[in-house]
Amino acid sequence: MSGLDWSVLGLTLGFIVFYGIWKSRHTKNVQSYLLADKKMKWYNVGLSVMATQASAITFLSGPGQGFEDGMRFVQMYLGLPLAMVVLCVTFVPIFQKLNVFTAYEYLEKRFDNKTRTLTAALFLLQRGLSTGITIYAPAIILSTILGLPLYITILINGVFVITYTVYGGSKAVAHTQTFQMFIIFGGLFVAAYMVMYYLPENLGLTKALHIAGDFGKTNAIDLNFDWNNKYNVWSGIIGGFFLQLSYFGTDQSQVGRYLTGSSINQSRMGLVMNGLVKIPMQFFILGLGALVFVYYQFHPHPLYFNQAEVSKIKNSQYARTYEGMEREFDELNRKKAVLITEKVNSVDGIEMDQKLRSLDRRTRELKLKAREMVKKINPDADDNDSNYVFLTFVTGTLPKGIVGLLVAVIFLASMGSTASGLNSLASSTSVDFYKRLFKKDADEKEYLRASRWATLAWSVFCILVALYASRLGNLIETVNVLGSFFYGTILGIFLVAFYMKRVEGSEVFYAALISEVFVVLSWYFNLTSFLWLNVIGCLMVVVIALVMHLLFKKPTLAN
Amino acid sequence: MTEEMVTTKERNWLWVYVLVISCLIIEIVLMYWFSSYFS
Repeated sequence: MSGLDWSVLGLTLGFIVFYGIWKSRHTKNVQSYLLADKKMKWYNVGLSVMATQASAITFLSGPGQGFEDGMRFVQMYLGLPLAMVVLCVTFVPIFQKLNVFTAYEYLEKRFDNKTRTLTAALFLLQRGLSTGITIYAPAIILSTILGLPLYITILINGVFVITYTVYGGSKAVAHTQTFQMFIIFGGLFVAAYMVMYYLPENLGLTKALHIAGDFGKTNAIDLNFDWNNKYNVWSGIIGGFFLQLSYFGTDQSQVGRYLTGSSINQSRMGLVMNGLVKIPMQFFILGLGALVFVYYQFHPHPLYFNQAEVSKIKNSQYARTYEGMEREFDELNRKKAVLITEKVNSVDGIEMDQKLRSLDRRTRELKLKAREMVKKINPDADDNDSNYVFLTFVTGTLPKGIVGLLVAVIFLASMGSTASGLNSLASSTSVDFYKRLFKKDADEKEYLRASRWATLAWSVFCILVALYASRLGNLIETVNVLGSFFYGTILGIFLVAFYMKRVEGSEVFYAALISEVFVVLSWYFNLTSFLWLNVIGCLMVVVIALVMHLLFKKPTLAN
Repeated sequence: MTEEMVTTKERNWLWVYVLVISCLIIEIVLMYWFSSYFS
């Protein structure tokens, strides 16, 4: 990156910190610190909810997925608008009317303290680890691309985000996220414009999309139901609905965002905004990846995008083989570019012929071989090469200044989701544990101080997780699996709380414990793919709680 | 707020939910067209 890029990056990040501190300078009590005084407008709520979900990986992995696998990933979000409707009808009015700080506080009002404590503990365990990974995952990609040591990119992200989150709490988080989303949207539009700008002159958007389509990159919708196909309309609507409902309804990092709304209606409107904007946004990000793919059909690109792993190969016994593969790959791409240009200029339009298809097949085989080589040298290596595509394009192609802006977009996205994670961890620690179990009658200042310390302590914990993540092997996958262990069970507890008014605390508590054990065993004995654990956990809690209620219900006075 | 006002408000929200679900259906149809047209 040039001096100008570093200046743009530094100024953007510095401004966000300043803006967060300035906007939250009147934070004097715990209501202000954890719920932003409940004064946020719907657009703050909506943008904050979106910024929390869209981590840096969304902007790195999204275009990468569009490049590698096409746009079918967008179907994962088809259940989201339906989940938003259910949240607006049930979750929001209940949480807002009871004036709770955390979602788990409601569980004590509805059931008992042990159910609240169990659910909050499951949340802290899962969210603490995943916030660490939220810092780590983009940091490793940024460190490879920017040529900085990993701990520097982790610390840049961590220190900036800690500064305003510890000082200003929820208010700082909501205001900075609003601003971050504007910069992120702006950055993405600039990136899309620049990709189009760098395509060959006679290639408009329609022709570019036809090329992407010929290589199977415009596969946004698949109506065929197939258990083995992760992304189709049906798994997106049904599975996606459960996943998004659990995430938005029971994860404090999201609940904490819409609880800052100034009224039930403002919170609802924020969620409706999310339901309307999320799918087009994801479609746009994946489409950007498909266009980057078209760009690379006319320009040379590396066989393997993760250059850190490439340099390891080049220092191993596979060096000569890999260099031979690189030469063949470049030659194939040159031939492909000639054929595609001929097709674009022909009167018949663009359609893949046999020759182009076989060239494409061979390039994919070479990519697969390169990936296998990476795994042979380092079994723990991140073989998801597509995560590096977008930043390679940005840093290698775009003009000075724009590079800094787009790298800032990645940092801001990471900071936004990290800030929400830290704020929710602090809320749950101070409200569900410190206030409930240790100091019930302390004054406002004491709780505010405790919340700030909790934010700082969780920040340090998450940075340590991020710093040690690379030494713990396959931690990222473990965290994803851990999330699926808990989300379904937690959602089941909330659904029983909302819709089964007669079921009592002990019944749901033991139902949750039994379900959790079953979910862990299902995973251990490999009974199902981990995405289905959400559905199993949720349904088991509901059914077991109901059965226990029917079997052990206490006789009423009338009986 | 009277009970009648509350009911009217909730009814207005019902239309918002109908709008959200309609948008979802339109998005699926448009994306399906996009997939078939460009592939």
